Amino acid sequence: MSAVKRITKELAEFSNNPVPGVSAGLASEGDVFKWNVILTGPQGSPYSGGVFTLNLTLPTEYPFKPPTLNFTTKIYHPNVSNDDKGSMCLGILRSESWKPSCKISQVLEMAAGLLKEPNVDDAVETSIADEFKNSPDSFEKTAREWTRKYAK
Amino acid sequence: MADQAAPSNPEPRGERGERGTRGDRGGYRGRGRGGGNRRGRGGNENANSGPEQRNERSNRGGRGRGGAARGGQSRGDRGNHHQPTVSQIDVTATAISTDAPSDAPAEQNSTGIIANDGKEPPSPTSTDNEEICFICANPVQYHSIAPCNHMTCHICALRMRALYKTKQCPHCRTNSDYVIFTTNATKAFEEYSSSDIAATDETLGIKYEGKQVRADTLVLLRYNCPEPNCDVACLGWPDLHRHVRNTHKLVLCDLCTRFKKVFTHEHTLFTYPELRKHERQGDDVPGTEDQSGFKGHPECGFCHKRFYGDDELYNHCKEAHERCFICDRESGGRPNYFLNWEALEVHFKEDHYRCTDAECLEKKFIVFASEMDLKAHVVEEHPQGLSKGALKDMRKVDMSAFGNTHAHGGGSTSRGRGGRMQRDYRRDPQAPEPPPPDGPMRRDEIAYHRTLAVQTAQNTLPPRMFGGQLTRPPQPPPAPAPAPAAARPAQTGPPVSQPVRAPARQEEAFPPLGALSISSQPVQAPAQAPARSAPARSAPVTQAAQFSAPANIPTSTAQKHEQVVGRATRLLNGDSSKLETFKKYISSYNSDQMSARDLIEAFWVLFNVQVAADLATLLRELSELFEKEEKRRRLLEAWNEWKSVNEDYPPMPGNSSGAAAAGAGGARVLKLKSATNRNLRAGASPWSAVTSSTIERGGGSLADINGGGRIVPGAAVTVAGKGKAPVTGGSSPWASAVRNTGSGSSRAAAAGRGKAGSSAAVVSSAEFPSLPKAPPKYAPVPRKNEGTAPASVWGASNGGASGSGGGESGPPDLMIMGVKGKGKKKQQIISWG
Repeated sequence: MSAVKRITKELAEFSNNPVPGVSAGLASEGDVFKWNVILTGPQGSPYSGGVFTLNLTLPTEYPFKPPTLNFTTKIYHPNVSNDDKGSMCLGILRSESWKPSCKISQVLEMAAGLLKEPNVDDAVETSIADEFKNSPDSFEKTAREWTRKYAK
Repeated sequence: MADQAAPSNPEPRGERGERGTRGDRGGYRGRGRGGGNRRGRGGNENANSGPEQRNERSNRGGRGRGGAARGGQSRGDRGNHHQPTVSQIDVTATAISTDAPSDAPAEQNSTGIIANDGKEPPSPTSTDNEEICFICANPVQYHSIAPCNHMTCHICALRMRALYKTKQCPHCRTNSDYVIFTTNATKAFEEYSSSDIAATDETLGIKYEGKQVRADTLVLLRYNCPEPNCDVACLGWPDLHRHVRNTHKLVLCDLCTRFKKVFTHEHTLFTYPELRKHERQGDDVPGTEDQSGFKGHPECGFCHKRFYGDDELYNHCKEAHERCFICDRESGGRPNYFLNWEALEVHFKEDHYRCTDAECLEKKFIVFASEMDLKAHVVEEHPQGLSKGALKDMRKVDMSAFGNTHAHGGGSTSRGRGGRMQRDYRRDPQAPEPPPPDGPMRRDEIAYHRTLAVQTAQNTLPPRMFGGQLTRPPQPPPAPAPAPAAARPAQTGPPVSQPVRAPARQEEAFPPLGALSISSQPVQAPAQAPARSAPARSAPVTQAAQFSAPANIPTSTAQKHEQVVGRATRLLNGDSSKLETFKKYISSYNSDQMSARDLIEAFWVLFNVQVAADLATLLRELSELFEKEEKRRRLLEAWNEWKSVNEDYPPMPGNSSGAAAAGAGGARVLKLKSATNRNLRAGASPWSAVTSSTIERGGGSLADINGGGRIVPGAAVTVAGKGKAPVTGGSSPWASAVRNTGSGSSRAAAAGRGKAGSSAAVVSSAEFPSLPKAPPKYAPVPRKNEGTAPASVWGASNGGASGSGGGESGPPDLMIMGVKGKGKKKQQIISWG
């Protein structure tokens, strides 16, 4: 299938051209469908100083179906589901808005961008999104606390 | 004016740089491009209108030309680069295709490009310079150009349009009614005029620049056997299943053939043990070239039926089983399923608080997580049934339970991890002692303990099996559950006492739900499917009888018309543009612009349904609308034929209409197998190498066949002199080729019969199982009697072929190719697609 070829190509491209603040690699040697991703909390955000690990799972039908991103580190974020899956909700990752031309590096870039700037209009955790909008201070406090607690 | 644009812009653009491959492909193009350029590629007004794209294009043009200077390369060598001997053969091919003038003029007229198709001698050195498709990272054979002027390879575009049934551009998601499949990577979509288009496929929305492109595209949509060296194309999925079982003693995964969005030849063949492994844990081989990442088909713990993927399982559970919304809430959104409504009702009764008011029972889901919630509901909704005292009583809150209830409430309102954490946190100071397990427990606690017990009993199960964790405890530590299990809807296996306990209890009381839970069919909601559709679905073969039965429900034509439109709208999810297309199809059928078969084909592409049954009712109702008896009959005949070939498998779109054009033959199939899968099938590449050069260009005239024969004289000899047994038997490609020939002929006969009508087709497919007897006869010493069956039919054309080239003798592998070629010819004429 075409998937392996394309993924291999993207992996090579990513290692030549890494996205700032993101490091990624295969979770296990040889299985190109599972990537381990490490995001470092961007300066100036409540996640600063934290190290967040994610699993990137590529479907067999990639690139015709979108990959999925799951935080394995707990994070207080409007776009990350606050459950044991930690699914990251990105507009481009929804199957109805996914484009086969979209690359993994773009996905990771987007993920890193969301740490800097949560997208409240596309939130999974509406209560966190509301808090982010209405009382940013308390949001930041919790997010920072969680970062300290879980992402060190 | 035309030419100025291209060479004037020599510096490479960054984005295009990565395509990098222009050289060789460009060479090919460069030569063929004379025509294209003349027609004004890169005109000035264009340059003004879209500077960015124009620029880019000019560049491409420039590079393409450069390539020409370098000698270029035909796409034919795609598969050959690792096969040094091939160039020789290709030279022959070139010579011959020049001799075969029959198709050249026509193509020149249409495109000016295709005429050169395949004439370039390949340069075996240039593999590193091939153009790579942005989407699939495979070399581009033909380009697909969308109106947004984004390009992909034709295989990706076809995959999107035929398999994923979307007309979106893979780059920008713009919907486009048509894309153009072409060899020319530098010409913009809007530069194509209708005279540049050799053929148009309405249903898939593809315009072909040349017949060759069309043939090479349609060959992808046939039911090609996935076996790398087998060039058999079957009639439909059932036929292909029989073929691989009988001929190769292998099986296809039924679920994959129904749901997996790959071309037929890309499916995997399994032995039975392999298939079981594939279903249970997937056949992924990490680290290898052909790893798939596939982890098996999930199974429904109630029905013990496997589904293609999590989504399909989820849909099944949604339709066939019931969820407890209270437990779902408790478990942070993880679904908790029960076999059916009866089981859920018992669960409601025993583990939650159900309002027993008759009206509420009727509504079915008036259930509460706590007694207090229930009381509040009763006080608010049903005060009339209560005496004053009782009402007062109801308003009392039992404080003894409050501590827990409070904590509970906190948990159920805030979702997920955080909610649970909070709750735990709160509970600590407030209720330091957990409720004693032997004390009076609330129902949900009882339920919790019960499921906890069930769960611990099932913790020994491997994570992918559906354990019986139907009721996830409200406060397990937030540690992530084993991922696969969590990803799938929690299921209850049969050993679990609770949900399975009640299945038959009140079956009579709720027949529809019971029926639903048993049904494995993708469901048409009962409301959508009037009673009449039921027999149609259950007895597809006898449907002809059903059809002819007088319709008695809607009497007037207007009513019927409305009904059809309504049903179509529902099937199309209310998409009005698709509905217009639907109407357009019908009127073109009515005005004889479209055959019944094409109509059904078009419907199949238009309606995104999984199984034929979903279309059955629509077609039946539609057929009643035609005033001419003839139209009605032909539609129903075509429908029945279509169904008998496909049974309940989702067919490849574009296939039946491709039958006529399936001039593409077996050898081409082998080529495409290696083209779409090239790195996996090293074994096939020598074949495709030869093939690509030997196959006729232009799709299917007899002249081509003879041309093909001439290319490989050895083949002609073998074919003509049936009795002669060439010395080189025994190698497996040989055997398979020969086998194909043999089975090919009987198959073709069956296909012919299939044409006669639906019942005949059924009969013919019933006869397929007799096929396996043939191969063993041929396999070990292939040549002896191989030709006898086809002799009478094929003598003539083969004779011609041998006449032209019989004197020479080719190397053995060429002869094999010839045999394949012959098989292909046969298919072509009998039109298997």
